[in-house]
Amino acid sequence: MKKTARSIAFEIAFYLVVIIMATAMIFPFIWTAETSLKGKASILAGTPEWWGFRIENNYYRPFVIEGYFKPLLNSVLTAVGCVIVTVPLAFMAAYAFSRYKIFGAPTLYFWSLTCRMGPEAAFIIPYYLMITKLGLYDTAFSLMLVYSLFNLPLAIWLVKSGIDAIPRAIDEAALVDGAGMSDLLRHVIVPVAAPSLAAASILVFIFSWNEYLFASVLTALRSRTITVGLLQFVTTVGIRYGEMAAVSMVALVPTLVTVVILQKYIISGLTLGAVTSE
Amino acid sequence: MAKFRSWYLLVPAVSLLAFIDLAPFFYGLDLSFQRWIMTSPNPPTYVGFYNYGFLVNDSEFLGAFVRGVTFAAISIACQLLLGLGTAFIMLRKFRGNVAFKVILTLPLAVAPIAVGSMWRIMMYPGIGPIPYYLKHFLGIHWDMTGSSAIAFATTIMMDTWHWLPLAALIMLSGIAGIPQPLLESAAIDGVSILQKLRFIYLPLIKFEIIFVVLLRGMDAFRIFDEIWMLTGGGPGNTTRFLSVSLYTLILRGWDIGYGAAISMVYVYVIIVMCWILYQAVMRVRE
Repeated sequence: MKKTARSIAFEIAFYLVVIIMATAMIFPFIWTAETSLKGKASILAGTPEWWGFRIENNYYRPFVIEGYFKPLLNSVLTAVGCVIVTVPLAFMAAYAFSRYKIFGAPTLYFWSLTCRMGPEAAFIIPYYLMITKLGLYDTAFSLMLVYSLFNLPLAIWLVKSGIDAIPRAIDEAALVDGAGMSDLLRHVIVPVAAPSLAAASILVFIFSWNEYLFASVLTALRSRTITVGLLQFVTTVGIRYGEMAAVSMVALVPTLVTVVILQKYIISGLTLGAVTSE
Repeated sequence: MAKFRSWYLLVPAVSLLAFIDLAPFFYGLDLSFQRWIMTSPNPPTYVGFYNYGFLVNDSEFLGAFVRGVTFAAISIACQLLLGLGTAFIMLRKFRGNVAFKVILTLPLAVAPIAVGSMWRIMMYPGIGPIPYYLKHFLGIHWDMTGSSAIAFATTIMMDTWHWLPLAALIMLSGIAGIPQPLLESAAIDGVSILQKLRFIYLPLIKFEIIFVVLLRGMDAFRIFDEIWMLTGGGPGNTTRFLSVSLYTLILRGWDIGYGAAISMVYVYVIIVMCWILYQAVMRVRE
């Protein structure tokens, strides 16, 4: 009897902890979503208003009147461009890393690790000068290039773990049948490695979409991205919190949706394939 | 033939990385030996180790370095401890564990800049609900724009909210890999929970723990977006960690040479940390 009472108490405590944690994790999202629908008076009311506030469309002014739609398009364009630049290169490199003993492979791995983990702030001076000299300042293309600093290592190691899982016998059979290297890659390996290629593409998209620092230094009005646009609500006089929340929601929802679908891959993506979720 | 082709496949990726990583690195190294203030009319001149000499005595740089290390150490400690607890929660197959896991992964995908804005909306005095409830129920005056300690604590809370799930999931993958018979025999021998933790769990997930420390350590040490959005480095310079300090320096003065010198030191520290991580990964992979 005593034992069951203890285990019931344990169960209650356990679920209490779970509920508190889940609430803490989800609370910022709910609050931001609510704020994005609140009028100025409700935001500045002094007491937090959870319901019954006057609903105001904070999405209208930034996206329709003030042209925040363009940064949104730029973000999509940049992120898609990054996928197009990065994933094919990563696929070729990943195949080479997976199938051949490459001289200096550990050095290359270490190098790509430092690229992925390097402090972005330390790169802004040389990038700014280089990109300006190349005449690429304020173009989406410059962002596609510099984002490969972290995208390429990520994609290579993600795709490599996908190719590693493909039996070598498949390659050999294709080569014996007289397929050339490019046929082998395009018609045999790509279809089999498609899930890892898709995962890499989506993670590259997310990381490019989320980037702020390089975009803030390398772009101006013409090709600034949504993350740069978001910060402008802070630097302008008198922060418009409702509209800041609205832009935040628009900036975070696409990546939020993909991570829910792609849970399995985000962990291996964030750890360069060193850890896989079970 | 195969050897030639394998090399050939690597060329595009490696040359792009060289252009985007090595070229700026050596360019930055070159710049760090120059005196060049972009806003001044004087042309850049080579000054040897002048910038590095200045850096050693620069209280702003040293302060930012120390603040960054402190921030990284405290937030890693929080994430390790809470992450380990969360991993044990997820290990149990309880009702709703799938939903719990989905909720937990949500913060991982959010743009760091949006993390900053969400926390600003939540924490700003006069607007956010958290300072209001703290004041109302506990009588704590939580003003992140006024008090340095509170601003620092807020940044740590934000970072923990953002990355605790990653720490938990990495450690979970380690715990889930512990062979079941080992735990069963420990249960038969009547080993206490603390002993189990000390002698079974912790030694067997050593790799995951080291991995979390280094991965999160590097990330926390280079943090920028969230902090810039949440506090802008303030109040005063309390939350001006190394990246924020460097960015402020460049924006304010366009002192290219000195900024480049700081960048070099910064990159070097990260490379050393990467090397340790790499050794840890390789040792376990074998």
